[in-house]
Amino acid sequence: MANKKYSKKYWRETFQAYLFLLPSFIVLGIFIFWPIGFSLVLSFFKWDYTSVDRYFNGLENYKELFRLSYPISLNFIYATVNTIAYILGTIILVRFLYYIASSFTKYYKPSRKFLLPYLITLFLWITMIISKNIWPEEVFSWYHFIIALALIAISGGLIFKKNKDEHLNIMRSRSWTTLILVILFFVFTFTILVPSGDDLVTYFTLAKESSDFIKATYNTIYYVLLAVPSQIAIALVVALLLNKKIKLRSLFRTAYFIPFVTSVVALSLVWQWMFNDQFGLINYFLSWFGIDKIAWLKEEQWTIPTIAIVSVWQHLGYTAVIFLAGLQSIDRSYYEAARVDGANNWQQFKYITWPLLSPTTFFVLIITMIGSFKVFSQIFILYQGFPGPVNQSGLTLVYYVFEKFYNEQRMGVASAGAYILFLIILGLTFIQFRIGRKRIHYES
Amino acid sequence: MKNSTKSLSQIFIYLLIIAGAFVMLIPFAWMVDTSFKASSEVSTWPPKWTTKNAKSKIDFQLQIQYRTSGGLDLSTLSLDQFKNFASLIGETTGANTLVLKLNDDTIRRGTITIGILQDSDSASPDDYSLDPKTNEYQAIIDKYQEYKTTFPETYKESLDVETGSPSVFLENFFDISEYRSDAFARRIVLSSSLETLFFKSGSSFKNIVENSLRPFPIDDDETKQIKENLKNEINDIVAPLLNILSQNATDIRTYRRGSDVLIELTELDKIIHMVESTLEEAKDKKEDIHKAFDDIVSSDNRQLMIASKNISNAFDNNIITPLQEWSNLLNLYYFVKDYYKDIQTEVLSSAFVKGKIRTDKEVYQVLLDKLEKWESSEPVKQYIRNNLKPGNVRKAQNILLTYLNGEFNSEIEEYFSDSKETSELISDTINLLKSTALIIEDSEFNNKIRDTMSNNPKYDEFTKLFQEAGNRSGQSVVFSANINKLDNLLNVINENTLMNFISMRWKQTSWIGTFAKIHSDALSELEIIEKPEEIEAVYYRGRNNIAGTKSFEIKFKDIAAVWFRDSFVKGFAEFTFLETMANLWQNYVSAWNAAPFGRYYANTVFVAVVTTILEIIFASMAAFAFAKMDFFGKNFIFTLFLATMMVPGEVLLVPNFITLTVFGWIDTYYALIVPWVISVFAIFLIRQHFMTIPNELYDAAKIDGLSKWKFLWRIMVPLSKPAIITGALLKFVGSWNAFLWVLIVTKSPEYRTLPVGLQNFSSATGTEYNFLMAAATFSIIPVVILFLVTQKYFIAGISRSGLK
Repeated sequence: MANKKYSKKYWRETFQAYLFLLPSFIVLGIFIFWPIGFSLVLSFFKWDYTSVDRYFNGLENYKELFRLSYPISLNFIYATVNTIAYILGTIILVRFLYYIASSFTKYYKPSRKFLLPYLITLFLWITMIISKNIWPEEVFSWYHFIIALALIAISGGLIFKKNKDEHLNIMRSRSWTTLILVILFFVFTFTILVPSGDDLVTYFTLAKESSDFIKATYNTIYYVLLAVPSQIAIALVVALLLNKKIKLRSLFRTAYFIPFVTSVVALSLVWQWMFNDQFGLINYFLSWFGIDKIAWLKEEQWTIPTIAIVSVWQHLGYTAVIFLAGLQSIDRSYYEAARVDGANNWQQFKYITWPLLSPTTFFVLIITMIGSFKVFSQIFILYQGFPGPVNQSGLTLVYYVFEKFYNEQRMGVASAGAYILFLIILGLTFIQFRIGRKRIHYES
Repeated sequence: MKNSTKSLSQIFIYLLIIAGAFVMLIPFAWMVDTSFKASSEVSTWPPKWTTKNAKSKIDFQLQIQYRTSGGLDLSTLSLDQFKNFASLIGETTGANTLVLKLNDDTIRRGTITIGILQDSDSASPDDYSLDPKTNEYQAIIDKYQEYKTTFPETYKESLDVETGSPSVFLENFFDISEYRSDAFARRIVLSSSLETLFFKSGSSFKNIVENSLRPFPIDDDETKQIKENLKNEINDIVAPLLNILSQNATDIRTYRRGSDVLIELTELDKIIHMVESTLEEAKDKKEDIHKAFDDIVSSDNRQLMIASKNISNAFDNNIITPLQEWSNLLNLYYFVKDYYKDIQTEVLSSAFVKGKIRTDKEVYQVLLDKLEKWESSEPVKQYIRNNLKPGNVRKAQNILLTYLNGEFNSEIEEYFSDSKETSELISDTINLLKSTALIIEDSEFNNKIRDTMSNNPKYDEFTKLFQEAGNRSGQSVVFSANINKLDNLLNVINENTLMNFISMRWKQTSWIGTFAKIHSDALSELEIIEKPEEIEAVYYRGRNNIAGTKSFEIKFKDIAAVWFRDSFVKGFAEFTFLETMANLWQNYVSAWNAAPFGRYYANTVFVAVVTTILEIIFASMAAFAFAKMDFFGKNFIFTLFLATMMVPGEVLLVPNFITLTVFGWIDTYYALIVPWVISVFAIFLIRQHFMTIPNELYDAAKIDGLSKWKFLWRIMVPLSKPAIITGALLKFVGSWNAFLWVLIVTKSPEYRTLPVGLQNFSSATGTEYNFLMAAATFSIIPVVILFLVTQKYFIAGISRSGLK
């Protein structure tokens, strides 16, 4: 085995190894590596499959994806700036909360130097909210714009200047609470405090009616936000339950896992029948609780939730099994030690299970997200070959690519759309790896 | 204390887990449950978990039909046959056949019992009459003749019916009075017609009075005064009548609803009384109006004389005549109905007729027997005898049609290069003639057609007949065009040859017609087990067709079916154990036959097996290179391979499709197999396992002179069974379930796999969820079983993917 580097024998073995790898090279080369490049090239060409000639038209295909068929009342840059201002502002406000809280403690007194910038931020924030409520100019207003920029400048400065202080330590140690607080604050801001709506969410809500691709992106993100957290949360609960000492464990595991191995077409048909608004089982169960019949498959607002329910149900077992494997790889002795120290169940979960499970959680997060971004078949079957019942309410990114490619035969636009999907997935993977490396507790 | 909390929490955990498993499995349970249901049970609210298909006895609903064009059921015809349908309709259902429509799920097998009962409460058999022409009947006919000219306008024309015998008269009379959509004995029709009558007659009379007595500018004061007086007088006179009319209009509405579609006789009595008393009242008022005219208008005032005449006429036309007409009509209906009830003095000897639906084998035997008596040529019979089997007996008509068409075309081919067009022209000609005979319902002309055609007519004789048919049916343009086309054929062949073709086709269509009748009867006649002696035979029509109406035809011996229109019919079917089983699995059979699922299955298995085998071979090779060999660029290539797992296949859809198009692989097995034979995950999985095999083994093998290739297959692969089985299973299941790719690269059913086939079936089937669920069930069963048997490998593989 251990040949000398670059000896004759080494090169012979290299040749042999490449022979062993030849089939893989050929197939992967033709069906993965070549298309990745070809797809990129294709996305710069105008090519309707029916006509023979194709010609280069630069970024036209990409521009077309984002072209609005009619203008909307909100400016994109303005909305972006506002959104950044809201996010940074809420982070600083949450920090301020921690600042106030820690100043009441005995031992973790925060440093006084933070008070002034926090007060300035708060002042700017309040000014912004009040002025936006007095002059709700959605379109664009220099006055609002400048306040938002100032807010970004001061809060951004505070965040990126890596300070060390007691209240910041407390905040970092309670990352979940912080995260929830920030999200709550943010949602509170753009739903209640600024009723006119001038952030990116509003922008995309308006823009999606004007561009199919934006609609597809919007729907996909909505779907991901709905499906991924619920799938991970439920799967974790299931895995924790299955990890207990229970009888017939493998039988239960089978029950949870079966949907994953069955055809998505058959399952979507079954769910189409379950969701039937007149005679479906779901509405029957709901009727036990006095809920009126819901037209699951016929109303715009239920489209994405319906698809999410079906996919969560189908992939739950898979995720749970991965979690289960992660749980079983945790050394029992940690729990024994914790029990000796008198830790209760919740504490055991919080201080042992959750941190030690984090590599698995992280992996699950990546694959469920990637899987969710590729949602297609369920929609195709549930809505009988249409992207949703009305108004393309079930149009997702893959569906968009499929539609452009298969039904309209516009290869260039389809490739451009596919490439954007590819970039989104790559970007997500990248971000998760970056964050993951920092936050995840790897067992040494 | 601590123990009890512990066991409590244990119970809680079990509850949660069981509830979760329940949620996970309920869609499957519902799928399987629905797949066994009868069509009518699918759409029920609240949903039920039981099905009648599992029962050994099923009640079914029947509905008595009035006229039908039956005798032979059109529902059994294919499109091809339908084109020739004129030739198939020989005779209409005889007057002796009672047709009962099956208002329920299709019955496919079993023993049928039908009860013809007096009424819904008792089990006593229904009564009938032997069609005597008694004095009562004469009285009815006299009354009918008397009233005939004075029926309301809507019914005047249609009520001109034959009076030859009681049953014929009743059949026609009930058709118009009870069966048609505008039949006046229907509650809704009767009440709304009378309501309109009552409502409109008063108000339109009032308008006419108003118009006739309007003061003109040229009138002198005296005339104006007279007009005013007259108007007041008339209004005073008719005011009570108008009140009665509007009261009636309100009262009649109460008859809209009732237990039966038809009005009951007791109610009818009240309505007749209402109409008649109003009529009496109106006649009285007419007298009064005349008196008022005589009192007020002097005979020398011409203007007022005309006005009074107008008013008097209006009173007649708007109030008295319509009331009189309706009174006549309803009276007659009442008498006829009464007579119909009274005259039925005979009683069926027993209420129930019981018979068994023939199996295909029995139908085959019966058909062979009947074939002997069928009037046609011996070669045709021989051909059918040779080709008919119990398996294809339901398609016997197609066998005959194909054969006859082939024969005819081969004859024509001798003369014409475009034989298809010519044969279609001749067939069209004959169909036109036959349709005409059907449409114009003139028995004399029908006979003429039949006689002429069966006596080998000359060509000009035929054209003359054809032209006449064209003129009679009002389609002379079409017919002339056809003749012109036929004349064109004479450029190629002479008149005699053409006429031979026409006669031949005529004969063939007649054979098709008679054979269709024989076939339909053989298929639908029940094997009678017990019956009242008055019944001759029972047919179950429409069973050859999955969709379409089904009906039972009960043929009586010399008793008109009209006497049983007033009976209460009900039926039930009984099944043996085997038949119940067949019923239970019927949806599966129907779904399987509704689409080429056999082909889909074969494709799926083939593609999945080949893909899996190739994948294992290639993955083992690659894994061996990565695990046990040392070569240039190893780490880089391995990382590159692993990176491809991040590339979503959906993104590469477009370029891969183009590649396959260039290769010419669209709609081939290559497209379904080749792109999927490399799985980086399997390479990774197997490599990890290969790494655990000690290198000493490898060195020892090398010393023994085993080549790398042989070492891989003889030692490494057998030692790594778990990893390889895991990789193979994941690939097999993935391949079995693949959808989007198969959807894109296949266009014809020959290469489709189950998921795409199922999707296609679902868009064709729509919302018949019992069939859909049956198809879904049998398309996932193999994979589910495979999973249940090998699940430890699955779980191992999946768990492995989570642990890096």
